[in-house]
Amino acid sequence: MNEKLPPIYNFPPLYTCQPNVLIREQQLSTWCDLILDFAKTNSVWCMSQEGTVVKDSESSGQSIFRNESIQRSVTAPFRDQIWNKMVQSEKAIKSNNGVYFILWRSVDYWSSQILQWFETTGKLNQVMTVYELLEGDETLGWEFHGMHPSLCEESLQRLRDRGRATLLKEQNKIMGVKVV
Amino acid sequence: MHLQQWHYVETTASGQPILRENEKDVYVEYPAGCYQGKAKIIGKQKGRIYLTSQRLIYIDDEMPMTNSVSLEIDDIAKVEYSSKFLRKSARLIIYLKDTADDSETGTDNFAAKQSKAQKWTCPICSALNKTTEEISENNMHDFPCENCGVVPDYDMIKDSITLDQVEAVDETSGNSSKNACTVCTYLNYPLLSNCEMCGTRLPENERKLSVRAPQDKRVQIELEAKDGLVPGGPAFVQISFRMSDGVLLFQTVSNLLESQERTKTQNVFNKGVASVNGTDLQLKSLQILDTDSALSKVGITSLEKSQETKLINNDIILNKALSDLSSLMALASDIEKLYNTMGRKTDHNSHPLLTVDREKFLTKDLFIDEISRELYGFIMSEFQEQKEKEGVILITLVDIYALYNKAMRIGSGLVSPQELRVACERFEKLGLNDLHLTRINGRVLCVSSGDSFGFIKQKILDVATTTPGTDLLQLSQQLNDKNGNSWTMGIIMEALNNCVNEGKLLVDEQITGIHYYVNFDWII
Repeated sequence: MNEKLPPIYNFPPLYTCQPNVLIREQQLSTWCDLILDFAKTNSVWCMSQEGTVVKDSESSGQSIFRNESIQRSVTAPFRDQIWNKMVQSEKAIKSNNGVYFILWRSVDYWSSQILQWFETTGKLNQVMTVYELLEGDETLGWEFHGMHPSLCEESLQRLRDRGRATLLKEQNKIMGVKVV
Repeated sequence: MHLQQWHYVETTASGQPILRENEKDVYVEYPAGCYQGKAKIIGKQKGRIYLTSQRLIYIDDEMPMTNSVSLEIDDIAKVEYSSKFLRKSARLIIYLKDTADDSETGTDNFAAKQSKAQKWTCPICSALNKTTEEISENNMHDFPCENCGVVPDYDMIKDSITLDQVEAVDETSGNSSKNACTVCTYLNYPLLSNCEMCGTRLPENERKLSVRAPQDKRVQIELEAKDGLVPGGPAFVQISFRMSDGVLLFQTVSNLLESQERTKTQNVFNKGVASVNGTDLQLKSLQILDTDSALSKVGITSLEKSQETKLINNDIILNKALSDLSSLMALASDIEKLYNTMGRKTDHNSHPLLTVDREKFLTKDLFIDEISRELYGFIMSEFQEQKEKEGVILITLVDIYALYNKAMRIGSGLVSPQELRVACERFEKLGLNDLHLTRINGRVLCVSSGDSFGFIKQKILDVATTTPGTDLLQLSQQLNDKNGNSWTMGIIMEALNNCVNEGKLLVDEQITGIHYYVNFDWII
């Protein structure tokens, strides 16, 4: 995992909470950049508190907070600080079940992307299911393909707020969308 | 054929007699030879005489295993001393106790047992002389008159020579009753002379009745000539002293015999006690001799002899004293040499130090001032090397407290931490400008010169740049590489903390310790 990350990932002091406050702020932003970079290159939408990638509500793989090559790992209190910083700087959203959605693009960016897709493919005024939108063949090659459904709901709600979309709900869950 | 009184001696491989139980070593004489009667015993002419509390042992020099013999002290009736005269060496004549039932047994050659001893009358002083050997015209000069010391013409004494025949003795076989030990009451085999259990000498009368031991084959007595002992007459052996005069041995044996008589009459049940009613029971084995009384002869020769012995004794004592003294002197010079080589090199800049004694000062203020000056001098000399090399000094007050009190204040009263601090604060007031008291990290008091803290910080940063991930130990080793231990752990630790707080260093905390990295990435 670390060959795709910048060299600072192998810098041992990164894993220790620095006592100097100003230094620590920079250290935390370094961590935020690292996580976003990692999520973007690996198309990771969702990560657990421990730093592992979550896919289909199952965490798998190695934690980003553990670097085997230099035998270092981030302690739990410092991990919480990093996540707090992520949420504060709106780089991540904490979901109800304790996982974090990584926003390597902002929610607004995603909503405009979806709108752009509807416009370019001529799907306006048609009802599309969320599944079709995220997993269907027609969205292949678009950045939001494979996006986590919860994050997609968030983006669609932005569209609805702008008055461009109508959401079809079933059992309190968004199942389909019609963009006008 | 030899006298029954000769006994075999067990010796160690190194040629020392193996003593019996309760037997004590009393005296050793060297070198000496043995005579039976008047004849030399072949192969027993050069050896040591050990006098023990029970025996008189001869250990041969050349063949200690085979040629060594002993005499029981119990068997000795009396001893006489014959002083050295011309070529005749000093002798101890030991008269053995008459064995009442001496008689010939066996088919031994009678002639071998007798030897000729002769008597002659001195034509000058009319003293009756005895010789150990047959006297003739040729060996006449070996036998001067024992009284006046003159060797007479053989012709003049020819008529007076008479032959003395002494016979070796032997005992008949007695009954085989057991011999009870007087101390432990163990019934010993009748042939034994000492108790098998406790080693005590068995009673004489009992042993006399018992069976006489057959000739001990291990005792080898070969005579050079006839021993001149007559059966029924006095049996005697002689010990001839080759170098010494043997007076000491004679004295000791006499004393031993005397005390043995005494101990025999004492109650055996008190054996082993140190004293009875306050009187000492121990043998007085060695006494300072009085040579005059020891001599058996009178006349000019004896006077001369005694004078000679006195002189020799004095000589020996003086020589001993001198050799002791010289060996003592040699030891002393050795020790001096050792001291000089091991001793610490004297400090080239050592000078008498002023002792700052509390009692000498009227007020505490003056005392503190003096302490302050002394402290300044002490730090400057103690850390001179560091000052010269790096230009700065930085020591924590705690270290100074320990160093100063240990080095300067022992014997003149230690200073308290408060006094030390006040003294350090006074440096500037007293015009001692090189050092001042500083507080680093807002808590640790240090004595420093110039911007020493900035200096050490820069040094630490340099080390961390060249070796990223360095720890305290490594830092301290690198900083003190050239000059001893001038940068203490405490100082380095404080400087590190300061650097970390300022953001110049980054920490990497591990179980193994804290590693330090220079901060290149996160610039404030």
